[in-house]
Amino acid sequence: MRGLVGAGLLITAGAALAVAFARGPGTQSAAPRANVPRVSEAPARTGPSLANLAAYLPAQCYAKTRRADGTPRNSCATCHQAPLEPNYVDDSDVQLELTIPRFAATNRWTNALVPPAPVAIDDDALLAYVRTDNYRRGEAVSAAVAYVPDCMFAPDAQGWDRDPSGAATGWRAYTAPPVPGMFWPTNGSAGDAYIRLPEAYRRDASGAPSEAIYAVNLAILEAMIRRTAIAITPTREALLGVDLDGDGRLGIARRVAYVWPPSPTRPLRYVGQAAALDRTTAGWPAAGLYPTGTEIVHSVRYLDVDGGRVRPAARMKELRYMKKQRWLSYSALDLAAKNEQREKEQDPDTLRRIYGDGERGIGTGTGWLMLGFIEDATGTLRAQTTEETAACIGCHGGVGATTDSTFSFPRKVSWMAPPRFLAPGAAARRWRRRVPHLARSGRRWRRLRK
Amino acid sequence: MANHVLERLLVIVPLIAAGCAGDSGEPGAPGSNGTDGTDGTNGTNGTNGTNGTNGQDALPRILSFAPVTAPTTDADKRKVITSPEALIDKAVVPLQYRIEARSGDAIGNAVFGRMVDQAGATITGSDGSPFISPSNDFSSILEVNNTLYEITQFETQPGGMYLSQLAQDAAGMLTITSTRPIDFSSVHGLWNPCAGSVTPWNTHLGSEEYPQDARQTETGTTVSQVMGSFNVNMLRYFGVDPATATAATARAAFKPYYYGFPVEVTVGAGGTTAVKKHYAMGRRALELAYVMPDRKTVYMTDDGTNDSLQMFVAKTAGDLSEGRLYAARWFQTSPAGAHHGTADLFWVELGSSARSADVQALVDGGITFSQIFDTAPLATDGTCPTGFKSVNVDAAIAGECLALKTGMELAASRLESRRYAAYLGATTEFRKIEGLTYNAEGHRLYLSLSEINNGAINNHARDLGGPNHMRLAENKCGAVYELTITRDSVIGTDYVASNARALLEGIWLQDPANPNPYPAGSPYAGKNECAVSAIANPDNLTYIPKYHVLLVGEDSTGEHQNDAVWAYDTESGSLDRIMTTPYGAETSGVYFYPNLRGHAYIKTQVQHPYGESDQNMMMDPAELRSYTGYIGPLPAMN
Repeated sequence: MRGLVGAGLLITAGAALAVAFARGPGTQSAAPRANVPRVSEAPARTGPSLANLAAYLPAQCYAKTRRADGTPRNSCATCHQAPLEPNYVDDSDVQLELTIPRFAATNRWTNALVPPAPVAIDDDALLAYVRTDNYRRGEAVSAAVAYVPDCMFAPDAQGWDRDPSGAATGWRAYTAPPVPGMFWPTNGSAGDAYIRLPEAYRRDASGAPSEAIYAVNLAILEAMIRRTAIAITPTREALLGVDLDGDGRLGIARRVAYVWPPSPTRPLRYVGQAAALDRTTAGWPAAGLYPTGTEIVHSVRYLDVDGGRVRPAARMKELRYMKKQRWLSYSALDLAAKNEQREKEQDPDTLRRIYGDGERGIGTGTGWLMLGFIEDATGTLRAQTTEETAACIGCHGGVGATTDSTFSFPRKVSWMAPPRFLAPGAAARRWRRRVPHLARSGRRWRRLRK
Repeated sequence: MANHVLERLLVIVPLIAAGCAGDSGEPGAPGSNGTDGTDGTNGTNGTNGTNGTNGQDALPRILSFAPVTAPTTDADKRKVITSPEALIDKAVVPLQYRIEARSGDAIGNAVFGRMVDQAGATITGSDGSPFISPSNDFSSILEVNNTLYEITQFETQPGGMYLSQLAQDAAGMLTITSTRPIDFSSVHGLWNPCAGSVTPWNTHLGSEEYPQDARQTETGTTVSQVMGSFNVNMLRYFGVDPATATAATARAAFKPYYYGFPVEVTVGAGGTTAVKKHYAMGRRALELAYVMPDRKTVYMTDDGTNDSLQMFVAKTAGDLSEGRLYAARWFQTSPAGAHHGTADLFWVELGSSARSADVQALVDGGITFSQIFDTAPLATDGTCPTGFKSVNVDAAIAGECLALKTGMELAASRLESRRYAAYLGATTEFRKIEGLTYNAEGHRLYLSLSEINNGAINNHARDLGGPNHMRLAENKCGAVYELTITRDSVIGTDYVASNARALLEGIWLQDPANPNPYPAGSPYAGKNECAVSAIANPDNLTYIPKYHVLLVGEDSTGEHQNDAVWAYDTESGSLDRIMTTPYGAETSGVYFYPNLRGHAYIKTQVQHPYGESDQNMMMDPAELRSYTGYIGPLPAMN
């Protein structure tokens, strides 16, 4: 499905952020705080871990593949594709033939089959509900939870998330056309996404915090994940000791070149304090891989209506988080994928094992830890159960469509320029209206190119 | 002495008095008679001779491990834990797991477990990273010319073995002083080596598991179909990049009939190695080849679904390059669908006596599946058209209709040994038969079925087209079976398994027919499908002679969260856990050496810690590397 998403489907992080930012941090304390579930109350801690042992196969895997008139529909192609290295899970055959363990042949996502009955609610009450922020930064949802939400959802014009004092949280918002699924506003939700690299990537060689260094490191990462050159503000390469633009000399770089396989004489590396990290454990700029410690957080929100236009609401349905725990080389990923494939073929009816739990997180098997928070019946975000997080693992750890287990960052729209397919023309003008900070940087980008 | 060992001694001592005391001494010789009295009066009787002294007590053979519990804390679940001590004869011996090397360790100029291609060059991914196998498996120790060597198998594709030289100090500690990859280019590389054994003539006997289905190779239109999706990296052994290969280039580089055989490595003086594949012994998903004391009879286990238990009888003792091949027929004598099965076994000969050179000549000549068998579509009810036989082997192949082509007995018996076994009516319904070991004192062979399901249970879907010989009760936790070894004058060896019975069976708490999972609040809840007080998924087996102890290594996923090694006393019936492994690991290559220059060792590897499960528990990436090591050193036990 890569490249099929048109301008009309673009949901922007910026739009979501604008909402959060406009309300300001002060409004966040207004939400009720009483109903935060504690560890002991979470069902995963007291009952069987998984009511649905095949929960790693999400509801999407049971989508109907034919219309009533028999016309085939290949929504399977969204996830199941011939992969790009170092994703070694080639599951493109699933588009034609679904092979799952016998236990999973029954769709146990009963809510998807028989959705809860609609609730009558008037427009004002509904708008008031979706406009009430239920996100509480800095509050551990439970004692055991592995991630305390710390994103402000308050980015500046460059996407840097800032706290009320103006200090950077390390998170940076990015915009990506959503993968077909529940984040499409037509399907009732909107999403956003933020990325953060570890401290060393945000500091210069002397250890002082540096937004400029961090921006270069994020651009290097983006080049390796999107497998394309990424525009940067003009940067003196000699200061960093890295040939960013791959022109064979240390000059002024206006872009980070995508060079793969790496140049044997001038290999790219991360800059600043991160240059000193051990590349065998921390990682290095390898195509399709994030360095160890990378974090991604994104919210799934209700829709709000503002002046007749749909936009993401303040209220979250879910908050999803992942962190890369360990660096795995191409060879290690390859060997692990083959091992799993062998197990699957030898024991086709054996279900994938999901270990860990909703609060400490669940491993993807590809080096990442995932966990999430979901709105409970009282409207409060609680830690997901093991079963709910298992549904995340199905897609993020083991399908051909992902890049290092992620979907959105490889589809990211440039921080520096409007996406190519939108510029120029009327679509681009609409885009600039909706994403003013990106439009501004777009203008600067054009200036830089001259 | 720790209390638990004392307690065990208290139990054991009466056993010695009752059963193990030495024979009492012979009565003393009678005294000589007194001289006769003079006539008329009787002489007095001579005095009795003195009693002989009592005979000396026979030395009691005692082996008792202080058991360890299934780990319940996060810290313990990250560790390798062994019994703290064992009572061996009259001594309490402290125990410890000792790591000799982990995959990825640099030893001299070599990196332990780094895979090489046919030219000896390191195999790398396109990011330049070396292929370092995380899957150390069987690791033999061989003494050659007063030098100890260790051969470690790495179970990946392409597969490999490392030859290491060992130093042994006075206390028996083993240290690897150098290591190097063994060259398999003369036998077209090595395929997924798994378990192994040491032959009575002191060579390493390895295996090649899950060979590719040659029928699929012949008709495949993609590299994945030609090679099997998880085998595509075997192309790297021939210098072909699987990312750019086509089905035609893959077929040109790769011949499936070169793989699936016992692989013998002989270490010569100075650490030279010679490798041989024994094509005469037949081809299957070979887990293990195990030579009996006659140096002729060899049992071969076959891992996967719908497998065959096979036996090779060499023409010449100590030479596996020529002989006859047999497959077991299981006749179940226990009720269908019941646990703790029993069966009579008889043996079906596959083809006739064959020589490896003749089989290899067929493969060198490019023989294909379609030259051996004709095929026809299998009907949905499992029947075949006239002239074809319905067989059901392997998970990937399932039901087929085969007709042997004229004159193809040799090729079918040695290159399609599992299909041909089914074709001749032998049983191909075994499930994950893995470890196998021999108890010479009891004339018993032990065989692990790592799981009991698929064709091994009664009327399973995988019996479609097959005969349903095995009708056991499903048990995800598996079992160890005991086989009686007798002389068979027709086959002509003293080592033929004639019946089988369940010896140890796991306790499946989540059996859908009778679910009984650990309750909330139990430290084992949600993590162990099988009772932690019994075995789950037995894999490697090794027997400690004279001490009547069978060691059982586990390879479990969710059945037991932390895989264990168990010690089962075949006389008293006690079963004790003696070792546990970290999250996600399996034990592999459990093997007992009674006396290596005055010390005994229990070899065991710990494979892919954090690899199979619990990846989120991983803290240090280095923990991912497998361990090659041993429990010991112990005093010599022969």
